[in-house]
Amino acid sequence: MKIDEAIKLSLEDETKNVELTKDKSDKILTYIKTSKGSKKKHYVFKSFMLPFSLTDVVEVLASILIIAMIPLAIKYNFLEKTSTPLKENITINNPNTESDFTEELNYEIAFRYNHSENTFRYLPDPNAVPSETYHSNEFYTSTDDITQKAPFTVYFPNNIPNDFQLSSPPMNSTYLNINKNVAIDGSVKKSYYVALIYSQQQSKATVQINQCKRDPSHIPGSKKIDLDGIEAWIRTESTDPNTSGHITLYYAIAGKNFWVNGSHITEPTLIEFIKTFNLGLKNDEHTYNNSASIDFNIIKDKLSFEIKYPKYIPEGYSLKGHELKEYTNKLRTVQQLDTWYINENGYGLSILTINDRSKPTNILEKSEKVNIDGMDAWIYTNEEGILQLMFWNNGKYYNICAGKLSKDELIPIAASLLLD
Amino acid sequence: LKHPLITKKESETLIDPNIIQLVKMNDDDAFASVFYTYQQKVYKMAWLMLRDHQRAEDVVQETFLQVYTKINKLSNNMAFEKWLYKITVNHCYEIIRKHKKADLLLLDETIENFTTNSSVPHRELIQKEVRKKIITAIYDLPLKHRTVLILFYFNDLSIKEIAAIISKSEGTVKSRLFYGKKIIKNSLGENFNMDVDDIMGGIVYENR
Repeated sequence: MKIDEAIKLSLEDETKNVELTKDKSDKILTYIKTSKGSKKKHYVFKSFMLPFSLTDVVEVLASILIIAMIPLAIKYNFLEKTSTPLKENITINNPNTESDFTEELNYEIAFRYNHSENTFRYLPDPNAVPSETYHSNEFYTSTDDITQKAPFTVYFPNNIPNDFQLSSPPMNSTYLNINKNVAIDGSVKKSYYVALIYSQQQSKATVQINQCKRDPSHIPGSKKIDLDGIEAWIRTESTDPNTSGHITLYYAIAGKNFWVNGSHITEPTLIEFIKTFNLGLKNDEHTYNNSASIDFNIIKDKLSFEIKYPKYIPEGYSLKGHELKEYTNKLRTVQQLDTWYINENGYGLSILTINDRSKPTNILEKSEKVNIDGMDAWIYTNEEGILQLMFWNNGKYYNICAGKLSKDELIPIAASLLLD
Repeated sequence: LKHPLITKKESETLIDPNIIQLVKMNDDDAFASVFYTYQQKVYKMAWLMLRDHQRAEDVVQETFLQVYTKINKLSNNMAFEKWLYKITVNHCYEIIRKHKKADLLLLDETIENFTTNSSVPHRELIQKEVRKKIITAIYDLPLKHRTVLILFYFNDLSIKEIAAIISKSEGTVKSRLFYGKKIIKNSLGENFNMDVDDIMGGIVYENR
């Protein structure tokens, strides 16, 4: 059996017993012929018939009112306001200080995840499923859901060119997509991106902007351009501006990465659009560059604090490596050291140390508070059931995570880190 | 070489274009004829998209209400079917947008009810198993890929027609179709032996 035939037969099979009953069909047909929508079709004629029903009178008055409001709406710019995106620049999770790295903490916590075995595995997974075969995704379209579920500050611009607006239904104009089981850096993780889709009123031009928090990627065949001081890479696949999805643009700003896809648009128009879109990001205090290293010689040279190893590690686990990440904003740099262990079955145990006092308050609120030798600590269980133990000590943040270990097994590790 | 799935040409429709013209002239009998011709197809299509009987009924109602009230906007009567499916897809998207998580609906009892019956021949069981896996993979696909697969395999539409319905390029449709087939193939694993050429689908694209 061929695949096409198999798919076709499967779909036919699937709908074999799916039928609209005669009774329901008749009801729908009757509804259509008598419904308000149908009445409007004959409204011109009906309006000469008496007596009018109260509903009809209300309908006519409402129509007159709406028509009368149009000049007012134009005068006071109501229409323009409704076509510009959502709320003002929304900030979540990092409300306080100018040097706060809460967003980075939230992101790290969200990504401590492995879908395939429901366990934490730090080593690049040889069985990682390629990104195009992810098993499930989550899709959110309300602003509240997007801002609450995205593990980074979602940027909604205040400025876009006048002739563009957020796309209209039925296509979603704003959404958060969470893909599970995506291969990132060799490990199976979650990926998050928020998409904003704009279209030009007078043409088919569409610009989709995806914002995410992944490390920079290279677009094959792209050329480097300058976006008002920001490095960007652009690839135009067709010189015909009437092609769908023919321009890809990538850049990083304000701690996020932006992937842009332009359809039915010229390169200069797209670039001008993005420059306007970025205006609200130019002065973002969180503009930073990431760097990462797993070479211990480099780590030793760069690290500004002493590595602290736990005095107790569960049986079967042994030290396998270190990774240093640096987050730099306009004011300072913080360092995140990941010390990771692995047991004979390949299951990981990771200890993050960050020289920063930022606290992911929204995650702490969902965590269980415990006391370890007089020190407050928090146990957080993410959606996949992965346990993380967090605490702050001597100006540093610690996060211990091991998918195969229970809360009672994590606590002694934390306690041993506190020993001199 | 003509692919076996090519069952109709673009211009063929289930209903006589003259009946569409009668609908435009407010002939209620003609509308009823159109309604009864397509209602099951629209219902099944909506059900495949939404996996919810009540919402599929809503789609049928709203789709045909739109046909009834907006038929005069259809300039080419021959294109009625394509127009009808576009309205159906739009109403499905609208419902998904309203209910947000409809896209995430998991397989329900229809799939889970698959049971092994020892009296059924082994070959038939394997076929059932394969179909179950295919359907599971289809419902696991992102909505945009699922839509293209349904329009192509269930509605028998051409790449060009699908591109017009979802307002995307033919290249995008091909890419989504290819991706969908690839996922389905992966989901079948070793149970299903398929030609690489067939998976690539080149013959299908060229002819449809």
